[in-house]
Amino acid sequence: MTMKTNKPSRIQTNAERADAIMADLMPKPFGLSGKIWVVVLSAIFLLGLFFYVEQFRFGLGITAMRDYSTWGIYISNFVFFVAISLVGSLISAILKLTGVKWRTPLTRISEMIAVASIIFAALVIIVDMGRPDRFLNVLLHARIQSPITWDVIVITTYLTISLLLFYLPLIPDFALMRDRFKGPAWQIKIYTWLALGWSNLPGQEKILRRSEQILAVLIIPVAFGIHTVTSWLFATTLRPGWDSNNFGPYFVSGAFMVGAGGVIAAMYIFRTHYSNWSKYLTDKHFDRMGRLLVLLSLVYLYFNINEYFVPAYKMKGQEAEHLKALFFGRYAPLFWSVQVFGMIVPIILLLFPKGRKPLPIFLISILVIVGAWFKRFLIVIPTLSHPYIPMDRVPESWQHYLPTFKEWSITAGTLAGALLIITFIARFLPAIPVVETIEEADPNHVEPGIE
Amino acid sequence: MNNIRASIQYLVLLCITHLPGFATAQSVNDTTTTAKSEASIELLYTESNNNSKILTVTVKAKVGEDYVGVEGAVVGFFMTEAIPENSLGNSTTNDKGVAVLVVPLEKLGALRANYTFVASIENNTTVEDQQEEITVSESNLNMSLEEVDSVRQVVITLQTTDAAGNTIPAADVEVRLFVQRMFGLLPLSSDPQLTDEQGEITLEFPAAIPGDTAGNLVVVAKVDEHELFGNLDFRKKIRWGVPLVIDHNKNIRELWSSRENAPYYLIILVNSMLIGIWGVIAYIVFQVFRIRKLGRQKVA
Repeated sequence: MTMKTNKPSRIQTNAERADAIMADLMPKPFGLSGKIWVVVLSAIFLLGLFFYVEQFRFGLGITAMRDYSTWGIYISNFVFFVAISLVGSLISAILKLTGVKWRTPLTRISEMIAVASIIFAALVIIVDMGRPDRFLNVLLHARIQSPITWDVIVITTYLTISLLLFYLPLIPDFALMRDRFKGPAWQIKIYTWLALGWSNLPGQEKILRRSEQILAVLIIPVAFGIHTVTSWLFATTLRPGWDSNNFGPYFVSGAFMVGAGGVIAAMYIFRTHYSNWSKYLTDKHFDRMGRLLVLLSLVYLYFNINEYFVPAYKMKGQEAEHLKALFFGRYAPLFWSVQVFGMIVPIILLLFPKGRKPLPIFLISILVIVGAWFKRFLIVIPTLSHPYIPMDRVPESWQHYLPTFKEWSITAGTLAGALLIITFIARFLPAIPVVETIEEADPNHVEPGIE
Repeated sequence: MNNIRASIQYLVLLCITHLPGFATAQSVNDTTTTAKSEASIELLYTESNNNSKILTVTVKAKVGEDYVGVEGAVVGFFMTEAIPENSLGNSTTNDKGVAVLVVPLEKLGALRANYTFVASIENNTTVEDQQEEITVSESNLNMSLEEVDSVRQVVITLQTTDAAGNTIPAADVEVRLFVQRMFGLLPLSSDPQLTDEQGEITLEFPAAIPGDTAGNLVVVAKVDEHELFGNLDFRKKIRWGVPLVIDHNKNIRELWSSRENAPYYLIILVNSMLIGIWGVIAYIVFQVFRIRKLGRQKVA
């Protein structure tokens, strides 16, 4: 059997440049700050796990959830995780298919965030279950008419596609690390196994490019699906604040916005943590992401106006009570803080080029992320405090929802867990695609097309 | 650097060794605790259909301000007094601190007017030694269900035994009447009824109570926590209910139907999407194996 000859590798022809890029981007052991970061996150995660064990033993009674507020910060957190996971499809698929060339150093960061978030979105649902030992019943006795069943299906599908979209572009990098990485033998052994015998063969490259392209197309409807179905968990319920036709696009646009914010924050942290990464995550990347974030925030603002202005114009029945609580009542400080600091202020600041410089845009993205988390709180909790049937003759504690310390700890534990996944991926895998960066650094590089 | 590694290892070790300790420090089952908790013990007597006598003990220990159930405590049950020859048997408390014993009737001996039962905890590692006793009178709760002139009547009779061993009516005892439902008992009157001098209560049974598909109902007469008799209940099944008719026309395929009756269009739509998307995923996984195969061919 005759084999096709390898085409000369571009890496070999640009050896010096490639070596410099590899030296910059290859995974490195944790430094002191990295170790402190891991210890702090692990401590938060373990505290959350400790209280979850207590919740597992004694039930959801350790939370503040009662007969009315049956969904608390666990579900807010779940919606947040699903939302931020959409960034994978935004950067790896939408920007790829629209031919945006500056996306290369952002793709893996966005996929890392997507994979970590969607894993914890699935886990948080189990955390929210009073009897997690019965989780399999959700699958075994699934009712296909229920949006919860659709959500389970679409989360599993999105996680699988995200993992593939994360893994496929990594194959050439695994091969590179197999050949060039200087480190423990076990690590090289794993890289070798995951590299699948990658040798830059034309056949391999063709299959890889084609598979990536197919996945990039496939993930977009699934990404829209995952957050639309999540919004339907609320919108198919007759509740003030949830009974809305606007919920699908409202959730999807909000998800893209927080996802973009998440990538910007991660970009800044990587750029400041690793020396020389400012060559790859340049001011230009922050500027472009800033422009994208403004666009996404404006779209989200538009859906927010639809979501609140139209019912506020009518102020009908129980819906009015809900809106008054948001606008002027006990949730007003949080509501207006989220709308102003999580959306309006970022839009205004990002319109100015100085606002899109790395440090300012990092701080703005933190505002966006924190605002987005509390926005999910505002979507879930106030509605449950305003049921159509009046709260009569019920204990005082049932009438309000104030999460317990244990609930906050478990929630913080899940957030720390997701950050730990991202941290360990960056510890053992290149957070910026190395081979792709080397290829793009070649002055003769031509963007490969689909044959 | 070694110091940092050592510190991290120490922290991890601290978490592993101390967190579980902290967890169980709150538990009353911590066998390593030397100080015993103050305990409360409650003994209840229940008799069902005059043929089973059940003793139920709830053991609680004081933890902070609260009393919580003690799990795994061995409770000894005795007749008259807590000596080995009077033992009725032992039972161990569950996670709620409850232990149950069905009294072996052969150990009760000859019929008598009163029985004294004792529950005792001794040498428990968690709680202090405790004893509780209850004295109950011999009783006989009966219920007859008859239809007289198209009127359904429930006649409840309660009798007891005097010191001479004679059966006598038990007057002025509160009895409640219920119908068994899936998740509990449905009371048939808001207030309890009192037995008359003959130890009897006569009630009219209401119509139009839904039964099973054959119209069966389980009627329950209960005496709750009476100072002489404890808890008594008597159950009887009778075909006095309205037969449940299952309307099969309701089993239409709609969005709001049960899982067995999902609309065909939804089943087809969801499954088509699943097959389509997961088919593509399977194709991509197949491509991954093709990449590996090409790599192996090159090596060969």
